[in-house]
Amino acid sequence: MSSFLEWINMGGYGIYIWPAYIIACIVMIINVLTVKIEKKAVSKNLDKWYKKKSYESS
Amino acid sequence: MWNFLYKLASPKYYFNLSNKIIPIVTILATLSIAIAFIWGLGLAPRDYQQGDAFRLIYIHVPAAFLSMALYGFMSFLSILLLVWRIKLAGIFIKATAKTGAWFALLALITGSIWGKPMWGAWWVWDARLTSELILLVIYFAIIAVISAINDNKKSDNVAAIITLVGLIDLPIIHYSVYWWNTLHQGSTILVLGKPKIHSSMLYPLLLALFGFVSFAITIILMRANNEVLWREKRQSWVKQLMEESKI
Repeated sequence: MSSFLEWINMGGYGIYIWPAYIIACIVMIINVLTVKIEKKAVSKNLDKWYKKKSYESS
Repeated sequence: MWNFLYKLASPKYYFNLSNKIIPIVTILATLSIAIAFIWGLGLAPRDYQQGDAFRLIYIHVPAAFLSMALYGFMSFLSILLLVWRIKLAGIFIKATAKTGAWFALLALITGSIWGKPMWGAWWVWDARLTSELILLVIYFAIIAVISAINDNKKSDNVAAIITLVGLIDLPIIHYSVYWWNTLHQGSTILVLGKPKIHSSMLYPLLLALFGFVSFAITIILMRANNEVLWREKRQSWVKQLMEESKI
């Protein structure tokens, strides 16, 4: 347990290292989520556009 | 080879190809980054000067490298767009700009976090730090221009021109540590020459680099696909995919 805590402490630098790694993971997650949300939006907008097109041509 | 490149300029061909590539790069990215982080945080030995603080290298260097590599890629795309009028290149500039900006921001943040314990300051107006900040501002300019101009053709062209003008920043960032008396250290990994860190620290760094590159490719391909579908909505292949609920 104490060696685990030592590892978390990272020789005193833990307070810098862990936030940095967490920020890196958050940035990656934000990028993935943004892309997924964009994809849903495109899908929805395409749907609307095709419905509008078929309504206009009919 | 040329035949393949000609075909690649077609949005439909690119879209179908990318959907085969995306699952592969996603897995490569996830595994590489996970292993590299565990290796770098847990297994790599302590540095004799920096102690455990050097472990920030496994985020900072890949992020900084990618912020520049993606910008170089955007410059190449800008030439494709402006000279050869390849519309897909314009779509890719848009997809790459956001990703590159995130990496530039990550490089600056992790660099700042690294600077506090090592240099005693969150920020210094060092040549490399300042030129990387300018790169981030250029990225923001490109993103802003793309969202400000409604006409895709115009926004692609303006973004491409800004990209090429801003390209001057890349050699400035790279050579800043040689041209000026900087606080930021010189290159660790050289194209010609032995790396300046031990292999036990280098191998997780190379893996992290590979992981981040794969991650960037995944995100860029996915962003580009979204844009392709929207821009090509008048084409029958998009309508067909929509009807088959494959989108």
